[in-house]
Amino acid sequence: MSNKKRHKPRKKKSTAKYSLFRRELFQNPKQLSNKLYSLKYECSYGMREHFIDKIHNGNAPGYSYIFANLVSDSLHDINKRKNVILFNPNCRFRNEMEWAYLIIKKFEKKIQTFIALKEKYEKSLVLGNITEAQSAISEINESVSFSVWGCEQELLLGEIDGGFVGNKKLLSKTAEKTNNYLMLLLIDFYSYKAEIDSSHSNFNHHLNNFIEKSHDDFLTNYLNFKLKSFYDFEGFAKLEGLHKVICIESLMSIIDLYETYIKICMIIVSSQKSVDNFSVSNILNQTANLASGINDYRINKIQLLSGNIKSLPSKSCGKIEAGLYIALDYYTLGNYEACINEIKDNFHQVCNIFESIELISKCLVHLNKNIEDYFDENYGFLIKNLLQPIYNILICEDKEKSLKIVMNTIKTMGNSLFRDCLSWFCLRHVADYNADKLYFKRMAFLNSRIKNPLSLFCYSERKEQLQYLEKIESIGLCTKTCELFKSYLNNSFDKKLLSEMPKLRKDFYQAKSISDYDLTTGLERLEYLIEGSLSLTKLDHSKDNKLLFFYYERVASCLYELYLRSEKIEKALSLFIDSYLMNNSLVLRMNKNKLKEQIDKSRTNFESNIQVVVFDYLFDSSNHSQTYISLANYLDFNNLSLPSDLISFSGNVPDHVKEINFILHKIYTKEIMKRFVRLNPNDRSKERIYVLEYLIKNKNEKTYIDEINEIIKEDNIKEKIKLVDEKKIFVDTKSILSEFDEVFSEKFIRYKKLKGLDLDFYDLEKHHSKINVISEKISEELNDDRGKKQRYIAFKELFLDYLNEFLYNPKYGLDKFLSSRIRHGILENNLSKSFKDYNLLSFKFKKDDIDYNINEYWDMLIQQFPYYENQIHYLELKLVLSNFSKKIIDKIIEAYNWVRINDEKHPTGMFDYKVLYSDTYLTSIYGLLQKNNNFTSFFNELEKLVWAQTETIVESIRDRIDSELYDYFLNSLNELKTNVTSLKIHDTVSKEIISKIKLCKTMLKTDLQTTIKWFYVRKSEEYQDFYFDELVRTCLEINSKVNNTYESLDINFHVERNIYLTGDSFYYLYDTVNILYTNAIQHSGIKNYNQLNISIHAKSMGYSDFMEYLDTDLSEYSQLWADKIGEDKSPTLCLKISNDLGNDLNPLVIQKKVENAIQMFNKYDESKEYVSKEGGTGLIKINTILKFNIPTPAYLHVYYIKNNRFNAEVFINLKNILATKEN
Amino acid sequence: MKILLIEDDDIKAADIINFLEKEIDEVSEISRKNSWQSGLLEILDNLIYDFILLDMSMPRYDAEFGVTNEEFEPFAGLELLKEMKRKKISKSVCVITAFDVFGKDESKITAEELNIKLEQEFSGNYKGMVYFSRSLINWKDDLKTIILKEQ
Repeated sequence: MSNKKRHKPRKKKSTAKYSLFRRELFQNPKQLSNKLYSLKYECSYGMREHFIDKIHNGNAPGYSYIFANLVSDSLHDINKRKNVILFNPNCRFRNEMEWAYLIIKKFEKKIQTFIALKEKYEKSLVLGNITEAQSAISEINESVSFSVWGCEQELLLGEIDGGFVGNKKLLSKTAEKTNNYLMLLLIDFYSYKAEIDSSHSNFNHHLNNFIEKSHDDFLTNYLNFKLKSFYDFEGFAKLEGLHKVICIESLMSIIDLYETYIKICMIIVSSQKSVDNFSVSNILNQTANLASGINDYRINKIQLLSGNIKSLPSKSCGKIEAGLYIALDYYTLGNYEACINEIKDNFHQVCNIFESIELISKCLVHLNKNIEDYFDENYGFLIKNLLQPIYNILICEDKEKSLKIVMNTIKTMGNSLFRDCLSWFCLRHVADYNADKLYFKRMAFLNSRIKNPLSLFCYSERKEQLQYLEKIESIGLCTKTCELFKSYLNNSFDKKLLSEMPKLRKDFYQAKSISDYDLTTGLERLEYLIEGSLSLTKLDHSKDNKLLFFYYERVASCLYELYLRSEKIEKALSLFIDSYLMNNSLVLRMNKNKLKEQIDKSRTNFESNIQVVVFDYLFDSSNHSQTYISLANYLDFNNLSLPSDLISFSGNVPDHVKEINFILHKIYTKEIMKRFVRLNPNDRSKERIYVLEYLIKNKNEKTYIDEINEIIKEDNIKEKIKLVDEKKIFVDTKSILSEFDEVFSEKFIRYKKLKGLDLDFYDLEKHHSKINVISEKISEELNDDRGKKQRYIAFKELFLDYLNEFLYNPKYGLDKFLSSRIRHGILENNLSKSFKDYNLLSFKFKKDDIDYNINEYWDMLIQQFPYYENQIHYLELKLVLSNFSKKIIDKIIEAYNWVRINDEKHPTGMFDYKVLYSDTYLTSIYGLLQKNNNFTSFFNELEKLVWAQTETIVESIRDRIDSELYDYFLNSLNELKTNVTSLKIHDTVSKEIISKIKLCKTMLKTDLQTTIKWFYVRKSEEYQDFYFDELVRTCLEINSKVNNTYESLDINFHVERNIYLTGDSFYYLYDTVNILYTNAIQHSGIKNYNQLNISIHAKSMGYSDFMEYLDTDLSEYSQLWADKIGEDKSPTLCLKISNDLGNDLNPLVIQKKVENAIQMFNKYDESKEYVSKEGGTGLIKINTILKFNIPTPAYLHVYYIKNNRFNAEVFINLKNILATKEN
Repeated sequence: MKILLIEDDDIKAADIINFLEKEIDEVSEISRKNSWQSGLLEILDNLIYDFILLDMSMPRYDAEFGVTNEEFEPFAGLELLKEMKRKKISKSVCVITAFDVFGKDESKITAEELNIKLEQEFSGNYKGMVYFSRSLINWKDDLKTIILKEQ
């Protein structure tokens, strides 16, 4: 039954009910809001349709409640409706959808204009024609309406055209046009989302942070719907809260209402679920009605997918689209050149169809051509963000990285074309994501303009699948491709078709098809194909590898599925591991979870299977416990005790050398090592180096050498760490930065990019807490000025994120260490120790008991005096002790709660960092750090600031223990003494208690002092002060250990012994010396180290001597130096490292290289990326260290060649780094 | 009955040992280890113990290893039980803990939940959990009941 028929206007419109309602609408304007509420939520569909029509035509009041500002002439008008129909939280989804539908029906013409202009916009966007895209958006704004959708697209164009700066300028400009909170919130998120350099994961992190803080279900639903992308779409499939989303959208613009309405229809149709009895058939009826006035391909697709296959018109596409169907057939038959040309010739017309992008990429793979061969630089955006990553995913090259790029593209491009097609493309290429794949497949189908034969799998029944293919075929679209899929479904291939197809495709489809009917034959065929692919891979590593991996991946994933289906676990495991070790991208389409389940359920003993060890690691590399179990089982089975024994064992299993090397390289790390109970921690480094030396012998990879270098360095440095075990306040900031490297780097880069841009925005963070219930304040306007700089807002977010990790990171944060090192029993035990030792504390029997009635010591003692006259005094003693115990225990619990981070849950926690969250504080440190543009030093500064606050906190804790706690305990003991004295108990008992009270008092101070010692800050890099010659010797020693050929170097070592420096400069000075020393060796051009002389000189020069030296030898720097140090007369460290140069080296070339590096100092020294790179960047790193990491007022480093020797001289004023010797 | 106590907190260990020595006649010998490593080595190398009393959260190594002692493991006891299971060592184990909750965030688990998990995963060895607090007395009865039940 069609919708028109169902909702046919009632014949008797003038029934009493209608008339009465009409009268009430007119007669009582004060009750208008209530009447409209009743119309929306309580009246029948027919009545709603009737009155919406009347209201829209001006024949009934209420226009301003329903239609005002749906068409807005400016951004300012959006969400500014003065009269609003209140939301009914208990309403049914059906109500909201029908209401939206009735409104949309009134704007069909506007929407049709929007659809046409949107297509123009999307094509221009893909083609990189930004001016045209911008003009399409302007046209939409003028001829249809301003909209949130339009804002999103404009910010994206701002980003593509003007980069990050363009985006942020536009954000500031847009904020001038509205002061509506919700609008500002959305454009702020859209601006962030449009940033090409911010990753999908980082954006989600940003969004989730906000959502977690928001207490409003309404807002959360809306933001999730509007902003989340890709995998997170799964949430939508649950269909919760969609009625709230559509309700908010009916207050925005008609474009936003329509786009959201269509998206919801697509979600319901794809998920095949109904909400509140509003089902696919209702969608079908509504969209069928809309189709008469709006030509939107998504509406046609909804019809098609909902079962109207037969309704597909016989001429269902235009000429341009038809070209794409032809191209599809060309691809099927292996005519790749023709396929590309067909698409390329009409690319400006079909560029907004995802299939055209995918087909081009596939053809390029088959033709072994690069993208640049077909697309010039004008397509930069398309190539970088779509074509290249898709191409790489297809050929399994850096697949995970490319998938991330595509996900970022989905995020960036947002609610426009390709979203669902790209999501489905990504999902097709990863197996482990636990999603309803059919749902995504259908969403992609609905969002594509063509009827791709491959979409047959959107139908679950074979009958429907065939029907779909036949229908497409019957209207003459890609008949060959349809034939192929029909043959595949029926497992009956026409010889002529087979003869026309390329061999690899033909074989694959045949094998896959037969496996549906005959599993064994299917398996044999696919195994044969895999064998063939493998032998080809081994033969030819150059030309055709791209295509081989393309096919291998498809065949192997299919075979893997069949192995799992037939429970051939070992074969599946072997295929998985072999593929992984060949190219780790090849297994992303293989479902690890299913294999893991089968292994766990299996009765087969896998202890002897080395591939299980590798698999368990790949399954979940963070589950060290499981990885250890598999590895230890394998070792036990083979009578080996440590994984390093695998080195000598590898000869016994020549087929598994790859697995052994993988285990030694990737698995046998510190986390696994520490689980081998017989391996002492102090031997770990030795063990790891032994393994790495073996790996170097097999494959001399730089990563192994670097790791050895790092281990030795760490060990040497560790020896210099001052161990102060009693200091328990610790945060592993290094690990925090390492864990969140991507997030913090991105945020820091955003913050840096905003430098110098005078762009304002609202500090929305302040308003989030005020506006907890958006549903009640949907039109909330912000009355304060846009006083905050965007850079400050970015800084605030960065700092608060860092602070949050510093405090709460479960692995490395302060709370973790407070818990494990102090609250973990030790505090309670230490504070109660003396009371317990002197039997002054009584106990409760059960946790829930009120009184502390059990004190065995005194109970026993009292029993010695059975003749004692008045038993009641025993009870009084028990009571006194119970009260005393309660007081002490309560105080200990109170003190226990001091050692917590102060937050809502723990208001008595003394680790109170609230001041750090205040705008006053943040503004001051923002100013302080303005000029710091170096990632490492910026975070060092942040760390110092948080530690500074921590120092203040621990000082007050120490004070509180020393005074408050001590006084409290002392007073309680005095009170106990008074109470006991007043009791008429036996003298012996009384005396003993009083004596114990005295002893306890004397011990109390000692106990508290022990506790006080714990409350000192211990930073993650706390090095002992050191002598500079020790540092240089450590450096030489480490290098000799890594490379024993260095031992033959001819070294002149003249380093003064008495230069004593502060510990915090150790790491940085070490790096400086190490870079200079390794440069001297590696860039000397002398291979025989016997013949290489290196001299290392270092001394401390007093002020006047050094100035004299500068005046004589480096006079051009003399004045600059004097200006920098001012009145200070601290000595200067002079380090000189020089080396011979080989005869083959051209001094001019070296000089040029040094000059280039020096030129870079100012250009690149602010860039974290550059500093972290290897090769030719040593001098730049030294410059960065001197500039940012060593707190010296003046430094200088010069490089020159003299007498065929390269000389490097570094001068550092020692004002802030000279240490005082303790005697 | 020979008992092995694996516990890093000296004061708690002293309380437990004191109780065992005085209150349970069946106990003939008590050894104590301070960490995951020393405890596990004792179990692997000396199969003489009849009963193991195990703390859940403790350092991985004894204090003598210095800086590595920072490796404090919230689930050291669980790991130890897993290794006993892997090595097919059959011994009665009782967990004595002063915590209501273990781990944080995703790995957070209450003592009751952990007790159920241990019962399911190590039904052979695991005999129960005792909640220890210096201000309570009933842990003694609970511990006594569990130990004597195994007699």
